[in-house]
Amino acid sequence: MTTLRLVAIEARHNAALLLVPVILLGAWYLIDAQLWEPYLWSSTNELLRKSVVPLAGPAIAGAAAWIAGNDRRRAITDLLSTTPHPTLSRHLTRWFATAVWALLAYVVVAVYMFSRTTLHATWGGPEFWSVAIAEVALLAFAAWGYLAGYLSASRFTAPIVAVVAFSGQMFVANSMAAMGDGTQRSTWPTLLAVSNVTERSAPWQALLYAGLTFTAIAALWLAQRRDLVRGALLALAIVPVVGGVVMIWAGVPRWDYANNRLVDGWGNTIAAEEYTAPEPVCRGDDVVVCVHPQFQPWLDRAVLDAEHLVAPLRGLPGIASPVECRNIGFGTGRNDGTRVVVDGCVDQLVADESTLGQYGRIENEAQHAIGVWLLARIGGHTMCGMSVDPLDLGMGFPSESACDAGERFAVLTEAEQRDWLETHFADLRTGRLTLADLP
Amino acid sequence: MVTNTTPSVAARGLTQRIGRTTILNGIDLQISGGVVGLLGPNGAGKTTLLRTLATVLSPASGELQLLGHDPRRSSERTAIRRRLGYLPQHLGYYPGFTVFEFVEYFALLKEMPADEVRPAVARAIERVGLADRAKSKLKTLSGGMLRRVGIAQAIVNDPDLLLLDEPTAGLDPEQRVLFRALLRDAGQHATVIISTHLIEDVAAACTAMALLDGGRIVFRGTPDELSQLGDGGIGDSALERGYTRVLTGARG
Amino acid sequence: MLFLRSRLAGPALVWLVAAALLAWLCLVRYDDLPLDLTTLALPLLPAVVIGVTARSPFGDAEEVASRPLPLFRVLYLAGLLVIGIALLIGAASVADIDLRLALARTLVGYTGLALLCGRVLGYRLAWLAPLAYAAVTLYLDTASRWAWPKQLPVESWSLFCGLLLGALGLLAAAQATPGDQPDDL
Repeated sequence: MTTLRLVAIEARHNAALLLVPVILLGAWYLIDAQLWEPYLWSSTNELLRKSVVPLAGPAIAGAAAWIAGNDRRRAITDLLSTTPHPTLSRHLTRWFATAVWALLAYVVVAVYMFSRTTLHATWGGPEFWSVAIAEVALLAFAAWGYLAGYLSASRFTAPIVAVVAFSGQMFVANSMAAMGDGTQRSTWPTLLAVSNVTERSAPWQALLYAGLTFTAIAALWLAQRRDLVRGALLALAIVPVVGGVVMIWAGVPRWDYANNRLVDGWGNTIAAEEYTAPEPVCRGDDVVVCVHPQFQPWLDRAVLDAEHLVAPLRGLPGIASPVECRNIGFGTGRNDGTRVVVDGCVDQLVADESTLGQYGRIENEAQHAIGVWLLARIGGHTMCGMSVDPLDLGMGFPSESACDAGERFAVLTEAEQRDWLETHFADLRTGRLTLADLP
Repeated sequence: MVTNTTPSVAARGLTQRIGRTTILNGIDLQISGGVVGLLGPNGAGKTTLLRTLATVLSPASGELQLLGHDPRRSSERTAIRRRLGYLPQHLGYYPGFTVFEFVEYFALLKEMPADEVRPAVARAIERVGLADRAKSKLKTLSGGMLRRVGIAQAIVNDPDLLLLDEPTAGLDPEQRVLFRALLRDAGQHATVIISTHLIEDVAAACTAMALLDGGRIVFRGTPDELSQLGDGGIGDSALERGYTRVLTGARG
Repeated sequence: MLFLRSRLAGPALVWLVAAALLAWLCLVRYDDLPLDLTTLALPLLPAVVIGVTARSPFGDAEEVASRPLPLFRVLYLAGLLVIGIALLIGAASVADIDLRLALARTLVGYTGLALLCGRVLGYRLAWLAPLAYAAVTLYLDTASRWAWPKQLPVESWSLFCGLLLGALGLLAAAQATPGDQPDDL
């Protein structure tokens, strides 16, 4: 009861209170900037992992550093030292009262994002485990910030702690480390950053952050008075940190070139994780579109777009009935809502599979030109003008000449277009045409 | 074992150093109840003595017993602190706290039973005359009011040993009169030691006093006894003359 | 000199040098880091160091001084900023001119943010605004107008943002009096 009341008093008058609107505002801006239709659980979970903690963590570390030095700055340490309440307990109360604001802010953001997504999403679900790990990580940020502030009550401590925490995790998240044999770059250090938590490494990341928290607390205790017991506790607290790092390193799959297999850090074979795709959801009669169940809310629109796309090609050689439009994608659109991306379907309509390039996209310029025309007539994004690199020809980027040819084809009357297609479509699909063959 | 006759403060050969400077030099002191005043010039060691008795500082050497316990031992130090009230010379505070919150905070840190805290805090605030400012933030208070808040946190747990360093600094004459009454009342149940420059506070409220100079006790007795030593001394009152006379004598 | 000591100019200089050394280490050791992240993160430390030194420890006593303290404040902060820029650019000597200019621009902008934030929340929390801005910008599209701290090369919009914030921050700090600074929590 006493502890709860102390926490309440400390929390009410805590600098971390000021962080809450900053965290919420920053999170709101990021959500507004990045969480658009289609609302997918995969996007929401990733956004929550990657965007909120890099702000909340360093901020709470800085606030905790500030709070920890308050007693010395306020010249109240003498008075506090005359009270019987254990010093460590007092510090833990204050640390927790600081961290709790970041924990609450994060939960508010998570609830908001989950609520927004759950209204629209049809597949998948929230990753509560990543929320839990983020909360543990925030405690670790606050603990280390508090320790730094306790050791140095300088006015520079808080800002330096905050910036080092931010920059440090940013660089770690983007770091790569060469393997010992120099043949493969491992991504394991990136998993030390909380923004890169994965389901596979989650238990070890939780261990790491919990260990970091205990280490900071043990160091704080040791800083108050040096004795063997406290030193031993610090040594013990480091164990989960080391353990977490080792297990994260070990858990990252790496390729054993000598034996042609995937192994973990201990040399044990890892079976390649087989991704079992969920049963797709299909709709349509003349044109059938099948998509991942998470895109089900937009399936009708996709079918409509696909039907418009196929309409001028009906009855032509190579166009089946019904047509199954594959590789339909969905793009995010902040003001326009979800975009249906039918580029993949265009490729299968204008080209035989045998003529597709190494990336599964059309490379023939005549095929590109007809593809541009098909997309333009349904208001799709043609990619014209996006790239001038010839190597991008096989990546879905049509050349300028192909775009021009497509535009010329679009100017023809429907009868002229149909005439040309009936004569040349079979050759177009087999890749025998060039731009010179187009009208 | 603590008995009714156990002195609240029993110091023998108490020495305190800060760096290489000896601040307290072999202090012998035994106090059992009442209100005891500590007088002395600047730098005499009054604050250091009070900080040592408040268990802020550990004695460099010598023996010290507070409320029958040895403050050098951790568990006994905790027992002392539960029955201790201390007002430092420079009171640090958290500007955003209200009067009530500040006193409550220290009541909780003094490990008072949870259900007794709020009534005790209200009583303490009432006793220092700040009941109408209980919800005011400390940053809005005058220096004298802050001093009274400091006194309130010192008395909130009805301590058996109350140590007050310059308690009347910043208080107006009316408040000082009220404070002396509070001291006399507290002295009925506890040992109160106050360090002050104001001789009239000692005269009005203290049943005993000690005069420090250069880290040593140069006089121990009652205010009346000090007054009687005033012949040839400088001052506007008998007590002041006694004070200056004793100091002059101690300095050779 | 006493004015500089009251603002802890000495320790601030030490930290500016340390920030430059760290920047040099990052640029030399981690040369495969994305440039936009480098531009975003490296100026943060010197900016917050400058921001927190704006605080006056004297309170009302300084407020009634006859000397032109606003001028002292501007000169002091601008001087620290120039030193910070010089150190950061020097540390980035291994990089090309575009990156160096971008670091300088972002440092000016962040410092302005820190000084503005300090005016509102107290200079001890001056670090909050540049940190929050950097954290949000981390996930913005580089083409976004709000992402000026990480835009490379330096173009007119990003330069304008950096200079404007820097100027506003210096102005706010110059005008601030101890009475304006909120009491710290």
